[in-house]
Amino acid sequence: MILKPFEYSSPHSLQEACKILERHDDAKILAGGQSLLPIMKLNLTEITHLVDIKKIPNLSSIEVSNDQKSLIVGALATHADVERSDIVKKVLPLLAETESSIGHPLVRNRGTIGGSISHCDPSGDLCVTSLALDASMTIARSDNSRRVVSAKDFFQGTFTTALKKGEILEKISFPIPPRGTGCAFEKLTLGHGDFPLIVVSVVLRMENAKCVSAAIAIGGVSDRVIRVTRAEDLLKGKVVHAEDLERAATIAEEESKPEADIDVSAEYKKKMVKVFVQRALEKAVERSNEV
Amino acid sequence: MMSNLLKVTFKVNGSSKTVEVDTRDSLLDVLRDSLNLTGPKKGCDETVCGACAVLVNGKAICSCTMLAVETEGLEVVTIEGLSENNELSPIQKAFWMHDSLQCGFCTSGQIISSKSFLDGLDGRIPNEEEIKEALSGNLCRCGAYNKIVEAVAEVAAIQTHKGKMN
Repeated sequence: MILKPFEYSSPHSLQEACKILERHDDAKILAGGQSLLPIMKLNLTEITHLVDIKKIPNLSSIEVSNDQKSLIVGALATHADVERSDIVKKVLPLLAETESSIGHPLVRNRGTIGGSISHCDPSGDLCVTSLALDASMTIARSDNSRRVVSAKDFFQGTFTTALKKGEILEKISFPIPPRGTGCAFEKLTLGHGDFPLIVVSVVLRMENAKCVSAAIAIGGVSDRVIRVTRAEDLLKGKVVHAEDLERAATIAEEESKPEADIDVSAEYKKKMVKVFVQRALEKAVERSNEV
Repeated sequence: MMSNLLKVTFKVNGSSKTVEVDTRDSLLDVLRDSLNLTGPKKGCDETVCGACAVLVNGKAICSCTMLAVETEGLEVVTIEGLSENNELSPIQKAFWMHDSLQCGFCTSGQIISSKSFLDGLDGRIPNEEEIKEALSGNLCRCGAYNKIVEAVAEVAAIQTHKGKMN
């Protein structure tokens, strides 16, 4: 039960929604509500106005850009939409894999990709994968202009993004990895559908057994999702052997600063970072040979 | 602060309803308390147990984590809306025949999730893992899981067979 009263509006255009957000100090965007409504029930946040953006048309499309280089997903596409999309499965299976691991079907039928990314949980599955893929966020503003922010700059801290007052995430653009790229997604949860403790997403581009580029993103180990550039640099330009993967995973462990929570200790999480990063890297190398 | 009341019109089990709701009301509370549809149950009230599942525009969701005001213009189906002409739907019958419940508290949610899953199969026969994943948001404290999976598998097989006959 939500205790504090709030106003509700459901505008029909992005500009109108931005304007309402601009006018109210404690206004919040309501998309699928799968994170926001539970938070409101816990009374953890002061919200006086909810702006439901689901009546705004054309915000849930999933398509490949004209130059065939990116996959563009509207902010209101649900996790289930993305997970089941044939286009996504074909051009960016890593995203479909990430989506299918979120919560359970009742959540995925309602929760949206834009909502998850804007919620900016430090162990958010989609935050990790969009960081690994160097996604870019298109943000709508009240003067009807747009600005684009890279994933690297978008996630700024726990529940804190680059979104300013009166701005709405409109769509996310994921670069489509070229052939020879192996991607993998791994996460540690205590039970099926539980909040993830550690989330790992890796993208390895291989050419003639040599690693041309590497992206290793981790969630749950800091106040925001992080990239382990030191481990990425280690792999880049190399013919990758099993011990290199282990070394990269060790670096990831070293760079992780997880906090203990009610279930597990910080030490345990740190150790698990190595296990899950290594697992993901091995899978990615294997997959790069398949495509 | 004053509460905010709004009128919302949506379809419930085929008929159009207009209800005055507080913006804070969940769909679950309005279904149960204003519309007397007590099939959806309030278990955890935080998207964990699935007892409150209903179909919104054909997809199973947790009605505890959706505001009633969000349903404007949408189509909601609860367990009460699955049977036709006093005849149980195939999935309800299968739950009965397979004895897929003990106390019954989670059953309406289990059936709603099953229905949403079965409708999305497009004639495909799912494996056991897929069925378990599809129902992973519905907890059953009695542990009727095996029989629930059996019921869903049977309906999936029958509907695929019927699809091929047509």
